[in-house]
Amino acid sequence: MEDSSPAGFDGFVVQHSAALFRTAYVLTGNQHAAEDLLQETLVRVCRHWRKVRRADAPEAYARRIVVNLANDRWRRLVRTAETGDLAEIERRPDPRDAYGAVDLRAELIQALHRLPMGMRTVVVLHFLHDMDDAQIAQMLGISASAVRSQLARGLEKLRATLPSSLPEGAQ
Amino acid sequence: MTEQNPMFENHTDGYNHHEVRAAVNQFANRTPAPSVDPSRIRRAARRRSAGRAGIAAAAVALIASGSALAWAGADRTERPAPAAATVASTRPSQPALDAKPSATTAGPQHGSTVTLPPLRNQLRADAEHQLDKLGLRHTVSDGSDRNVAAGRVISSYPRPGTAIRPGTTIHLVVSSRG
Repeated sequence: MEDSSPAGFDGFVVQHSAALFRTAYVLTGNQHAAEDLLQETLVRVCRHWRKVRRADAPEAYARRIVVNLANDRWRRLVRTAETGDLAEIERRPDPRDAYGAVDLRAELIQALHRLPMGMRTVVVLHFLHDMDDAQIAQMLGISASAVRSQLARGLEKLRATLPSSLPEGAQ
Repeated sequence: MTEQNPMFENHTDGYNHHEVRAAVNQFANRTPAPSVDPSRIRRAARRRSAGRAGIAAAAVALIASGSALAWAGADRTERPAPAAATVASTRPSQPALDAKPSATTAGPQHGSTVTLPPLRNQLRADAEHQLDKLGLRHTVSDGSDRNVAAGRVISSYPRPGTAIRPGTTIHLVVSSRG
């Protein structure tokens, strides 16, 4: 069955793979998992290319697949209580950074990967892709107010990882 | 944007927003995206379609519900180290992702190809000029990398050293902050 227009699909792969990989990588925190998610996503996009091509935003369609696959994977991990993921997030403090900002960010990322997947997804879509609550709501099939509360709760949890001595707002 | 939402703003402050955004983007930039060969993706998609068409309905349902597992058998095999994740030829299902493609493994199979030069740390205009000369199109998106000054290239996609056909679109990530 010839259901893909090779040129169009190839262009899609070239143009959007990197962004899709970033999404998968930040969601899973795991390079191999992100590579697998990217590949599986692209295969699905290819199989449904005619439909994807007609979509208003093909990249958003593909991103939703990434999000769903990351969710599936997370459910499997929870079910099997497998927690190898965090091990891959090594800390790489940059010696040139005198202010500990790198460590702080590593803490934040670890906290991000401890968030429940739904909350994590909302945080990632907002901060990595600058999607607003309406866009996130549409992609995830939940209400905008649910997005806002997930985002706020996610940020509360992330904030709890910031050192309490850290001044907020101004420097 | 959500920042304009008063309810949301009450829960947080600008510092958190900035720090979370920076952390997420920095983390995302840490690992370069793998190079993807679209033709392999198409072959994988065709294989799966063919598999489905040729099997009885019950089996089709099984594949549908277990597609992740079927994939797992082929591609979720433990890979010992990131550096070794690239041995595409030894993996059973011919995965479309090569973390480290080169002219020799990617192989110019379709007539003339050009090799993508390293563009990191070049001025955006210089990088664009090089791509133009090679007959490549490009798109640009913003990124941030503490080691790359504003206006210079952080990364390209596909990655340098990849053999590509003229006319291909290269995705450049250009640093947006100094």
